Amino acid sequence: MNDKKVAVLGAGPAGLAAAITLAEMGLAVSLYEKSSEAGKKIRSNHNLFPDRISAKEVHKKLLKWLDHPMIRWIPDTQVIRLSRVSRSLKLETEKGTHDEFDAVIISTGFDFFDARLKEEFGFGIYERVIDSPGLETLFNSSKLPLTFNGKDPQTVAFVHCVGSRDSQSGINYCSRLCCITGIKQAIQVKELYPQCRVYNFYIDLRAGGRGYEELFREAQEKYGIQFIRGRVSEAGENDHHRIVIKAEDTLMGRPLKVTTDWLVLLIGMVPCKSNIEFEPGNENTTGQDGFYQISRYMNSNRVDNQAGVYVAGSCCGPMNIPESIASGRSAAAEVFQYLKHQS
Amino acid sequence: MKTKFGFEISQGRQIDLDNLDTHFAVELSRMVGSWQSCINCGACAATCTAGSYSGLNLRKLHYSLWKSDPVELVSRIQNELSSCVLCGKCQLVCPRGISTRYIVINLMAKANDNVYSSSMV
Repeated sequence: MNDKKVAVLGAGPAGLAAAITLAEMGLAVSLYEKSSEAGKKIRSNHNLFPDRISAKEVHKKLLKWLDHPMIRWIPDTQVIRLSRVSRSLKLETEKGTHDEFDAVIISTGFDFFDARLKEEFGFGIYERVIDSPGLETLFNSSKLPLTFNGKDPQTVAFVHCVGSRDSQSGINYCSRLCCITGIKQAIQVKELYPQCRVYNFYIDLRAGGRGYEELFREAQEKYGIQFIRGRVSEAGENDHHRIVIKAEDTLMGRPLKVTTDWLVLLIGMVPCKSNIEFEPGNENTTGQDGFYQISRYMNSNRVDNQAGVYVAGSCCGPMNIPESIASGRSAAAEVFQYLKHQS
Repeated sequence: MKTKFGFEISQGRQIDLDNLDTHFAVELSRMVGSWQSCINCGACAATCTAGSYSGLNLRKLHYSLWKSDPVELVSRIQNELSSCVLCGKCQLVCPRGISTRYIVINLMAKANDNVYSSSMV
Protein backbone atom coordinates (compact mmCIF):
# COMPACT_ATOMS: atom_id res chain seq x y z
CA MET A 1 0.00 0.00 0.00
CA ASN A 2 2.73 2.46 0.98
CA ASP A 3 4.46 2.17 -2.37
CA LYS A 4 1.39 3.61 -4.11
CA LYS A 5 1.61 7.00 -5.76
CA VAL A 6 -1.25 9.45 -6.15
CA ALA A 7 -1.40 12.64 -8.19
CA VAL A 8 -3.62 15.57 -7.31
CA LEU A 9 -4.18 18.10 -10.07
CA GLY A 10 -4.84 21.61 -8.88
CA ALA A 11 -3.99 23.16 -5.51
CA GLY A 12 -7.17 24.95 -4.55
CA PRO A 13 -9.10 24.05 -1.40
CA ALA A 14 -10.24 20.67 -2.80
CA GLY A 15 -6.79 19.68 -4.05
CA LEU A 16 -5.04 20.77 -0.87
CA ALA A 17 -7.58 18.90 1.27
CA ALA A 18 -7.22 15.76 -0.87
CA ALA A 19 -3.42 15.98 -0.74
CA ILE A 20 -3.17 16.39 3.03
CA THR A 21 -5.68 13.58 3.66
CA LEU A 22 -3.74 11.16 1.46
CA ALA A 23 -0.41 12.28 2.90
CA GLU A 24 -1.67 11.69 6.44
CA MET A 25 -2.67 8.19 5.31
CA GLY A 26 0.95 7.60 4.42
CA LEU A 27 0.63 7.81 0.65
CA ALA A 28 3.05 9.68 -1.58
CA VAL A 29 1.21 12.59 -3.18
CA SER A 30 2.32 14.70 -6.12
CA LEU A 31 0.41 17.97 -6.10
CA TYR A 32 0.43 19.68 -9.49
CA GLU A 33 -0.56 23.32 -9.88
CA LYS A 34 -0.61 25.31 -13.12
CA SER A 35 0.12 28.63 -11.44
CA SER A 36 3.01 29.43 -9.14
CA GLU A 37 1.04 29.38 -5.91
CA ALA A 38 -1.60 27.35 -4.11
CA GLY A 39 -5.04 28.72 -3.23
CA LYS A 40 -4.65 31.78 -5.44
CA LYS A 41 -8.38 32.41 -5.92
CA ILE A 42 -9.00 32.35 -2.18
CA ARG A 43 -6.14 34.73 -1.54
CA SER A 44 -7.51 37.22 -4.07
CA ASN A 45 -10.59 37.73 -1.93
CA HIS A 46 -10.84 40.27 0.85
CA ASN A 47 -13.12 38.39 3.21
CA LEU A 48 -15.36 35.36 2.84
CA PHE A 49 -19.09 34.82 3.22
CA PRO A 50 -21.05 34.14 5.35
CA ASP A 51 -18.98 34.94 8.47
CA ARG A 52 -16.78 37.48 6.70
CA ILE A 53 -13.62 35.83 7.93
CA SER A 54 -10.41 37.22 6.43
CA ALA A 55 -9.51 35.39 3.22
CA LYS A 56 -5.82 35.71 4.11
CA GLU A 57 -6.34 33.78 7.34
CA VAL A 58 -8.16 30.96 5.57
CA HIS A 59 -5.49 30.91 2.89
CA LYS A 60 -2.73 30.71 5.47
CA LYS A 61 -4.37 27.71 7.15
CA LEU A 62 -4.73 25.86 3.84
CA LEU A 63 -1.13 26.55 2.86
CA LYS A 64 0.13 24.87 6.04
CA TRP A 65 -0.97 21.56 4.53
CA LEU A 66 1.65 21.98 1.82
CA ASP A 67 4.44 21.49 4.37
CA HIS A 68 3.67 17.79 4.80
CA PRO A 69 6.75 15.69 3.88
CA MET A 70 4.65 13.20 1.89
CA ILE A 71 3.45 15.94 -0.48
CA ARG A 72 5.62 16.70 -3.49
CA TRP A 73 4.74 20.25 -4.52
CA ILE A 74 4.93 20.82 -8.29
CA PRO A 75 3.95 24.43 -9.14
CA ASP A 76 3.95 26.09 -12.58
CA THR A 77 3.10 22.76 -14.15
CA GLN A 78 -0.07 22.04 -16.03
CA VAL A 79 -1.11 18.46 -16.72
CA ILE A 80 -2.59 18.20 -20.17
CA ARG A 81 -3.08 14.50 -20.85
CA LEU A 82 -4.04 11.41 -18.91
CA SER A 83 -3.52 7.97 -20.43
CA ARG A 84 -3.03 4.38 -19.26
CA VAL A 85 0.13 2.29 -19.24
CA SER A 86 -0.80 -1.25 -18.13
CA ARG A 87 -2.26 -0.68 -14.63
CA SER A 88 -0.84 2.80 -14.16
CA LEU A 89 -2.14 6.21 -15.04
CA LYS A 90 0.29 8.28 -17.05
CA LEU A 91 0.21 12.05 -16.76
CA GLU A 92 1.83 14.33 -19.32
CA THR A 93 2.54 17.98 -18.59
CA GLU A 94 2.74 20.87 -21.01
CA LYS A 95 6.46 20.99 -20.28
CA GLY A 96 6.73 17.59 -21.93
CA THR A 97 7.52 15.71 -18.72
CA HIS A 98 5.52 12.66 -17.66
CA ASP A 99 5.06 10.47 -14.64
CA GLU A 100 3.02 7.43 -13.66
CA PHE A 101 0.57 7.05 -10.78
CA ASP A 102 -1.79 4.53 -9.25
CA ALA A 103 -4.63 6.99 -8.86
CA VAL A 104 -5.39 10.56 -9.85
CA ILE A 105 -7.62 13.20 -8.26
CA ILE A 106 -8.64 16.00 -10.59
CA SER A 107 -9.33 19.19 -8.63
CA THR A 108 -8.75 21.79 -11.30
CA GLY A 109 -11.47 24.16 -10.07
CA PHE A 110 -13.28 26.72 -12.14
CA ASP A 111 -12.74 29.86 -14.19
CA PHE A 112 -14.69 33.07 -13.78
CA PHE A 113 -17.15 33.99 -16.50
CA ASP A 114 -15.74 36.65 -18.82
CA ALA A 115 -18.13 39.58 -18.35
CA ARG A 116 -17.00 41.15 -21.64
CA LEU A 117 -19.21 38.59 -23.34
CA LYS A 118 -22.22 40.44 -21.94
CA GLU A 119 -21.52 43.61 -23.88
CA GLU A 120 -24.71 45.34 -22.76
CA PHE A 121 -23.26 45.80 -19.27
CA GLY A 122 -20.22 47.67 -20.56
CA PHE A 123 -17.52 45.67 -18.76
CA GLY A 124 -14.16 46.41 -20.35
CA ILE A 125 -15.67 49.53 -21.94
CA TYR A 126 -16.49 51.76 -18.95
CA GLU A 127 -13.95 52.25 -16.23
CA ARG A 128 -16.35 51.90 -13.36
CA VAL A 129 -18.13 48.78 -14.51
CA ILE A 130 -16.29 46.00 -12.69
CA ASP A 131 -16.84 42.34 -11.90
CA SER A 132 -17.11 40.79 -8.44
CA PRO A 133 -13.49 39.49 -8.27
CA GLY A 134 -12.42 42.97 -9.41
CA LEU A 135 -14.25 44.48 -6.45
CA GLU A 136 -12.47 42.07 -4.08
CA THR A 137 -9.17 43.26 -5.55
CA LEU A 138 -10.22 46.86 -4.91
CA PHE A 139 -11.20 46.01 -1.33
CA ASN A 140 -7.71 44.60 -0.88
CA SER A 141 -5.96 47.51 -2.53
CA SER A 142 -7.14 50.49 -0.53
CA LYS A 143 -9.09 51.69 2.49
CA LEU A 144 -11.44 53.74 0.34
CA PRO A 145 -11.57 51.55 -2.74
CA LEU A 146 -14.57 53.18 -4.45
CA THR A 147 -13.57 56.79 -3.93
CA PHE A 148 -13.12 58.23 -7.39
CA ASN A 149 -11.40 61.56 -8.09
CA GLY A 150 -11.67 62.36 -4.41
CA LYS A 151 -15.42 61.76 -4.32
CA ASP A 152 -17.16 59.02 -2.36
CA PRO A 153 -19.74 57.07 -4.33
CA GLN A 154 -23.39 58.10 -3.92
CA THR A 155 -24.73 54.98 -5.54
CA VAL A 156 -23.42 51.48 -6.22
CA ALA A 157 -25.40 48.86 -8.12
CA PHE A 158 -24.88 45.12 -8.35
CA VAL A 159 -26.15 42.90 -11.15
CA HIS A 160 -26.80 39.28 -10.22
CA CYS A 161 -26.64 36.34 -12.63
CA VAL A 162 -24.02 37.64 -15.08
CA GLY A 163 -23.02 34.46 -16.90
CA SER A 164 -25.51 32.35 -14.96
CA ARG A 165 -28.93 31.06 -15.98
CA ASP A 166 -28.42 32.70 -19.36
CA SER A 167 -28.65 30.65 -22.51
CA GLN A 168 -27.47 33.72 -24.46
CA SER A 169 -24.05 33.06 -22.99
CA GLY A 170 -24.51 29.31 -23.27
CA ILE A 171 -24.72 28.89 -19.51
CA ASN A 172 -27.94 27.31 -18.32
CA TYR A 173 -27.01 26.49 -14.77
CA CYS A 174 -27.11 28.63 -11.64
CA SER A 175 -23.65 29.37 -10.20
CA ARG A 176 -25.37 29.52 -6.81
CA LEU A 177 -22.62 31.46 -5.00
CA CYS A 178 -22.83 34.79 -6.80
CA CYS A 179 -26.00 35.82 -4.92
CA ILE A 180 -24.33 35.49 -1.56
CA THR A 181 -21.18 37.17 -2.95
CA GLY A 182 -23.35 40.12 -4.03
CA ILE A 183 -25.00 40.32 -0.63
CA LYS A 184 -21.62 40.22 1.13
CA GLN A 185 -20.06 42.81 -1.15
CA ALA A 186 -23.07 45.11 -0.86
CA ILE A 187 -22.67 45.04 2.92
CA GLN A 188 -18.97 45.84 2.58
CA VAL A 189 -19.77 48.85 0.41
CA LYS A 190 -22.29 50.06 2.98
CA GLU A 191 -19.76 49.63 5.78
CA LEU A 192 -17.21 51.70 3.91
CA TYR A 193 -19.72 54.29 2.72
CA PRO A 194 -22.80 54.39 5.00
CA GLN A 195 -24.37 57.23 2.99
CA CYS A 196 -24.12 55.37 -0.29
CA ARG A 197 -27.29 53.91 -1.80
CA VAL A 198 -26.77 50.29 -2.76
CA TYR A 199 -29.05 48.43 -5.15
CA ASN A 200 -28.92 44.72 -5.98
CA PHE A 201 -30.70 43.73 -9.18
CA TYR A 202 -31.64 40.06 -9.06
CA ILE A 203 -33.78 37.55 -10.94
CA ASP A 204 -34.25 35.17 -8.03
CA LEU A 205 -32.20 35.37 -4.89
CA ARG A 206 -30.64 31.97 -4.48
CA ALA A 207 -28.67 32.13 -1.29
CA GLY A 208 -29.35 28.74 0.22
CA GLY A 209 -26.22 27.95 2.20
CA ARG A 210 -25.87 27.94 5.93
CA GLY A 211 -25.89 31.47 7.28
CA TYR A 212 -26.65 32.96 3.86
CA GLU A 213 -30.28 33.90 4.51
CA GLU A 214 -29.23 35.49 7.77
CA LEU A 215 -26.67 37.59 5.92
CA PHE A 216 -29.30 38.58 3.35
CA ARG A 217 -31.61 39.72 6.12
CA GLU A 218 -28.80 41.69 7.72
CA ALA A 219 -28.21 43.37 4.38
CA GLN A 220 -31.86 44.40 4.24
CA GLU A 221 -32.48 45.35 7.83
CA LYS A 222 -29.20 46.60 9.19
CA TYR A 223 -27.71 48.07 6.04
CA GLY A 224 -30.83 49.11 4.11
CA ILE A 225 -29.61 47.60 0.89
CA GLN A 226 -32.37 47.58 -1.69
CA PHE A 227 -33.02 44.41 -3.62
CA ILE A 228 -34.79 45.06 -6.89
CA ARG A 229 -36.28 42.14 -8.77
CA GLY A 230 -35.41 42.58 -12.41
CA ARG A 231 -32.48 42.05 -14.67
CA VAL A 232 -30.52 45.07 -15.82
CA SER A 233 -31.01 45.32 -19.57
CA GLU A 234 -28.27 47.81 -20.39
CA ALA A 235 -25.69 50.15 -18.95
CA GLY A 236 -24.23 53.28 -20.50
CA GLU A 237 -22.02 56.14 -19.39
CA ASN A 238 -23.39 59.70 -19.12
CA ASP A 239 -21.49 62.97 -19.56
CA HIS A 240 -20.26 62.85 -15.98
CA HIS A 241 -18.81 59.37 -16.41
CA ARG A 242 -21.49 57.88 -14.24
CA ILE A 243 -23.27 54.71 -15.26
CA VAL A 244 -26.94 54.88 -16.22
CA ILE A 245 -28.71 51.55 -15.97
CA LYS A 246 -32.13 50.41 -17.06
CA ALA A 247 -34.13 47.52 -15.74
CA GLU A 248 -37.68 46.36 -15.38
CA ASP A 249 -38.83 46.42 -11.79
CA THR A 250 -40.82 43.23 -12.15
CA LEU A 251 -42.56 43.58 -8.79
CA MET A 252 -43.82 47.02 -9.77
CA GLY A 253 -44.36 46.02 -13.37
CA ARG A 254 -42.66 49.22 -14.49
CA PRO A 255 -39.41 50.14 -16.16
CA LEU A 256 -36.79 51.67 -13.92
CA LYS A 257 -33.75 53.88 -14.36
CA VAL A 258 -30.96 54.71 -11.98
CA THR A 259 -27.60 56.46 -12.27
CA THR A 260 -24.78 54.86 -10.37
CA ASP A 261 -21.10 55.54 -9.68
CA TRP A 262 -20.10 51.90 -9.87
CA LEU A 263 -21.71 48.90 -11.48
CA VAL A 264 -20.57 45.55 -10.13
CA LEU A 265 -21.28 42.43 -12.19
CA LEU A 266 -21.66 39.28 -10.12
CA ILE A 267 -20.11 36.81 -12.50
CA GLY A 268 -20.68 33.08 -12.44
CA MET A 269 -18.34 30.11 -12.32
CA VAL A 270 -17.55 28.30 -15.54
CA PRO A 271 -15.66 25.04 -16.20
CA CYS A 272 -11.88 25.36 -16.34
CA LYS A 273 -10.66 26.04 -19.85
CA SER A 274 -7.71 23.77 -19.26
CA ASN A 275 -9.59 20.51 -18.81
CA ILE A 276 -7.43 17.42 -19.11
CA GLU A 277 -7.47 15.32 -22.23
CA PHE A 278 -8.29 11.69 -21.50
CA GLU A 279 -6.88 8.94 -23.63
CA PRO A 280 -8.73 7.23 -25.06
CA GLY A 281 -11.56 9.75 -25.39
CA ASN A 282 -13.21 12.31 -23.14
CA GLU A 283 -16.73 10.92 -23.63
CA ASN A 284 -18.98 11.21 -20.61
CA THR A 285 -16.26 12.67 -18.41
CA THR A 286 -18.11 15.99 -18.33
CA GLY A 287 -21.79 16.88 -18.18
CA GLN A 288 -23.56 19.15 -20.66
CA ASP A 289 -22.55 22.12 -18.54
CA GLY A 290 -18.86 21.30 -19.10
CA PHE A 291 -18.07 20.41 -15.48
CA TYR A 292 -16.63 16.99 -14.64
CA GLN A 293 -19.20 14.33 -13.99
CA ILE A 294 -19.11 12.31 -10.80
CA SER A 295 -20.63 8.83 -10.89
CA ARG A 296 -24.16 9.02 -12.19
CA TYR A 297 -25.23 6.89 -9.24
CA MET A 298 -24.18 9.78 -7.01
CA ASN A 299 -22.33 7.41 -4.67
CA SER A 300 -18.79 8.11 -5.80
CA ASN A 301 -16.41 10.86 -6.88
CA ARG A 302 -15.04 8.54 -9.54
CA VAL A 303 -15.38 9.52 -13.15
CA ASP A 304 -17.57 6.86 -14.81
CA ASN A 305 -15.58 4.28 -16.78
CA GLN A 306 -12.28 5.79 -15.64
CA ALA A 307 -10.87 3.44 -13.01
CA GLY A 308 -8.59 5.25 -10.59
CA VAL A 309 -9.63 8.73 -11.72
CA TYR A 310 -11.55 10.86 -9.21
CA VAL A 311 -12.80 14.42 -9.28
CA ALA A 312 -13.17 16.85 -6.40
CA GLY A 313 -14.17 20.44 -5.78
CA SER A 314 -15.58 23.00 -8.14
CA CYS A 315 -14.32 21.27 -11.28
CA CYS A 316 -17.49 19.20 -10.85
CA GLY A 317 -19.85 22.15 -10.43
CA PRO A 318 -19.95 25.42 -8.48
CA MET A 319 -18.92 24.82 -4.87
CA ASN A 320 -17.96 27.02 -1.97
CA ILE A 321 -14.82 26.52 0.11
CA PRO A 322 -16.11 24.12 2.82
CA GLU A 323 -17.87 22.04 0.15
CA SER A 324 -14.68 21.89 -1.90
CA ILE A 325 -12.66 20.82 1.11
CA ALA A 326 -15.21 18.13 2.00
CA SER A 327 -15.23 16.99 -1.62
CA GLY A 328 -11.42 16.78 -1.68
CA ARG A 329 -11.30 14.77 1.53
CA SER A 330 -14.03 12.49 0.29
CA ALA A 331 -12.21 11.81 -2.98
CA ALA A 332 -9.05 11.08 -0.99
CA ALA A 333 -10.91 8.53 1.17
CA GLU A 334 -12.20 6.85 -1.98
CA VAL A 335 -8.72 6.71 -3.46
CA PHE A 336 -7.53 5.01 -0.28
CA GLN A 337 -10.33 2.40 -0.59
CA TYR A 338 -9.53 1.89 -4.24
CA LEU A 339 -5.81 1.37 -3.68
CA LYS A 340 -6.44 -0.97 -0.75
CA HIS A 341 -8.54 -3.27 -2.93
CA GLN A 342 -6.07 -3.02 -5.78
CA SER A 343 -3.06 -4.23 -3.82
CA MET B 1 -60.24 71.69 -37.41
CA LYS B 2 -57.49 70.41 -35.20
CA THR B 3 -56.19 67.03 -36.23
CA LYS B 4 -54.03 64.85 -34.14
CA PHE B 5 -50.91 64.01 -35.97
CA GLY B 6 -47.63 62.39 -35.10
CA PHE B 7 -46.61 61.25 -31.68
CA GLU B 8 -48.00 62.26 -28.39
CA ILE B 9 -45.78 61.93 -25.39
CA SER B 10 -47.51 60.08 -22.63
CA GLN B 11 -46.60 60.52 -19.03
CA GLY B 12 -43.52 58.52 -18.21
CA ARG B 13 -44.06 55.19 -16.53
CA GLN B 14 -40.41 54.82 -15.76
CA ILE B 15 -39.34 54.71 -12.12
CA ASP B 16 -36.56 57.27 -11.82
CA LEU B 17 -34.58 56.26 -8.75
CA ASP B 18 -32.29 59.27 -9.17
CA ASN B 19 -35.07 61.74 -8.42
CA LEU B 20 -37.21 59.86 -6.00
CA ASP B 21 -38.14 61.11 -2.56
CA THR B 22 -37.73 58.09 -0.28
CA HIS B 23 -37.45 59.93 3.02
CA PHE B 24 -40.85 58.67 4.19
CA ALA B 25 -39.88 55.07 3.44
CA VAL B 26 -36.57 55.59 5.21
CA GLU B 27 -38.35 57.18 8.16
CA LEU B 28 -40.74 54.23 8.41
CA SER B 29 -37.96 51.72 8.25
CA ARG B 30 -36.23 53.53 11.05
CA MET B 31 -39.33 53.09 13.17
CA VAL B 32 -39.98 49.49 12.13
CA GLY B 33 -36.54 47.97 11.65
CA SER B 34 -37.81 44.69 10.28
CA TRP B 35 -39.81 46.48 7.61
CA GLN B 36 -36.96 46.46 5.17
CA SER B 37 -36.61 42.72 5.43
CA CYS B 38 -39.75 42.12 3.33
CA ILE B 39 -39.22 39.37 0.76
CA ASN B 40 -42.37 40.13 -1.23
CA CYS B 41 -43.93 36.75 -0.51
CA GLY B 42 -47.44 38.25 -0.50
CA ALA B 43 -48.74 36.38 2.55
CA CYS B 44 -50.00 39.65 4.05
CA ALA B 45 -52.03 40.46 0.96
CA ALA B 46 -53.34 36.92 0.67
CA THR B 47 -54.67 36.80 4.20
CA CYS B 48 -56.15 40.29 4.18
CA THR B 49 -59.95 40.29 4.53
CA ALA B 50 -60.27 43.90 3.45
CA GLY B 51 -58.10 43.20 0.45
CA SER B 52 -60.68 40.89 -1.07
CA TYR B 53 -63.12 43.80 -1.25
CA SER B 54 -61.15 46.98 -1.58
CA GLY B 55 -58.01 46.10 -3.46
CA LEU B 56 -55.80 46.90 -0.49
CA ASN B 57 -52.52 45.07 -1.03
CA LEU B 58 -49.94 45.50 1.65
CA ARG B 59 -47.13 43.81 -0.25
CA LYS B 60 -47.59 46.10 -3.21
CA LEU B 61 -47.97 49.07 -0.95
CA HIS B 62 -44.78 48.29 0.89
CA TYR B 63 -42.82 47.82 -2.29
CA SER B 64 -44.35 50.89 -3.93
CA LEU B 65 -43.27 53.13 -1.10
CA TRP B 66 -39.66 52.73 -2.18
CA LYS B 67 -40.53 53.29 -5.81
CA SER B 68 -43.08 56.12 -5.84
CA ASP B 69 -43.67 59.59 -4.52
CA PRO B 70 -45.15 58.96 -1.05
CA VAL B 71 -47.62 61.87 -1.12
CA GLU B 72 -48.95 60.84 -4.49
CA LEU B 73 -49.04 57.19 -3.46
CA VAL B 74 -50.85 57.72 -0.19
CA SER B 75 -53.48 59.95 -1.77
CA ARG B 76 -54.04 57.33 -4.46
CA ILE B 77 -54.60 54.50 -2.00
CA GLN B 78 -56.52 56.45 0.60
CA ASN B 79 -59.80 54.60 -0.02
CA GLU B 80 -58.18 51.19 0.02
CA LEU B 81 -56.31 52.09 3.15
CA SER B 82 -59.46 53.11 4.97
CA SER B 83 -60.86 49.60 4.44
CA CYS B 84 -58.22 48.18 6.78
CA VAL B 85 -59.70 47.36 10.19
CA LEU B 86 -56.28 46.76 11.77
CA CYS B 87 -57.17 43.16 12.53
CA GLY B 88 -53.49 42.24 12.42
CA LYS B 89 -53.75 39.01 10.42
CA CYS B 90 -51.09 40.31 8.05
CA GLN B 91 -48.71 40.59 10.95
CA LEU B 92 -49.49 37.07 12.15
CA VAL B 93 -48.64 35.47 8.81
CA CYS B 94 -45.55 37.55 7.98
CA PRO B 95 -42.52 35.21 7.78
CA ARG B 96 -40.22 38.11 8.59
CA GLY B 97 -42.31 39.19 11.58
CA ILE B 98 -42.81 42.70 10.25
CA SER B 99 -45.05 44.95 12.27
CA THR B 100 -47.35 45.55 9.33
CA ARG B 101 -50.09 47.15 11.44
CA TYR B 102 -47.72 49.83 12.54
CA ILE B 103 -46.96 50.54 8.91
CA VAL B 104 -50.66 50.81 8.07
CA ILE B 105 -51.30 53.09 11.02
CA ASN B 106 -48.53 55.38 9.91
CA LEU B 107 -49.75 55.40 6.36
CA MET B 108 -53.24 56.22 7.57
CA ALA B 109 -51.79 59.00 9.63
CA LYS B 110 -50.01 60.31 6.60
CA ALA B 111 -53.17 59.99 4.53
CA ASN B 112 -55.34 61.80 7.05
CA ASP B 113 -52.54 64.21 7.70
CA ASN B 114 -53.08 63.92 11.38
CA VAL B 115 -50.92 62.40 14.01
CA TYR B 116 -51.73 58.99 15.38
CA SER B 117 -49.93 58.36 18.56
CA SER B 118 -47.63 55.42 18.44
CA SER B 119 -49.15 54.22 21.72
CA MET B 120 -52.00 52.81 19.61
CA VAL B 121 -49.84 49.94 18.50
